[in-house]
Amino acid sequence: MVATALLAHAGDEKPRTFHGQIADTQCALNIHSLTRSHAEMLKSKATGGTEGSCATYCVRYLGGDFVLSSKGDVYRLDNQEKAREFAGQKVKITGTLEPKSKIIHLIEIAPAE
Amino acid sequence: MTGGAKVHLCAIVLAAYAITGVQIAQAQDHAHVIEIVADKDSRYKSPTGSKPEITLKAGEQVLLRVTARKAKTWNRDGSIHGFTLLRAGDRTKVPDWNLLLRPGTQEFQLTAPAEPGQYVVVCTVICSEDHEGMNMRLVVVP
Repeated sequence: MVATALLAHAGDEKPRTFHGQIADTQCALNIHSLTRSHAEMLKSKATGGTEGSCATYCVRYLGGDFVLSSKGDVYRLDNQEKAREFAGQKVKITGTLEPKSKIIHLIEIAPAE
Repeated sequence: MTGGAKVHLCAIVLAAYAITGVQIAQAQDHAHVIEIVADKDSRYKSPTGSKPEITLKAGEQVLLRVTARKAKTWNRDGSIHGFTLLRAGDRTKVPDWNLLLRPGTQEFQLTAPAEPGQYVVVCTVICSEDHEGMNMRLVVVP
């Protein structure tokens, strides 16, 4: 019954549009800015040379998840496979938000215009 | 609902809580206790300071007690280190073993992976320039 109530609640959220960058939890959640966090990780060389390769490396090898970093907010994404295609890119996401957990249920993701 | 019925209901709820509490205490009694320090130099250590290697039996109950000490940087939510278990072969995550650590000592009740093999624990918070070296081996035996 609780699960049904939660699903019904999640279903109440209307689709919204979010803008930001597909990053990894490690860099995006750090106290530093995303740019500075990426820069520190990129020093290790293993992460590759770009923000996209850094995010992909942190998710693939270091236990991270893809997230949307948007103006100081970090949103978790329910569809990691879709997010992977846009690692490091600025994107426009359409989806519903679970406000408490800050999870976006992805409907559509596209490169930012 | 009458006053008597309310008292009855309260008694049932309290009894249920008491039974649950006893079950949790019993589970803790039988759990394999693992103590780890997630230290300020971005390294996992045993309480004696040595590099730890954890060996668990597949599917056993584990009480993980971690003492976390702040390194140079941390997450905006206050997490200072992570403790995430990955399968060594393909680096995929083990469900329920994706923990974020706050400063101080905290305990987690976990179940060891069902599949014997080699695993690795990694930190998922960029805690210093040595963050990538914050890992340790975990072995699951049949």
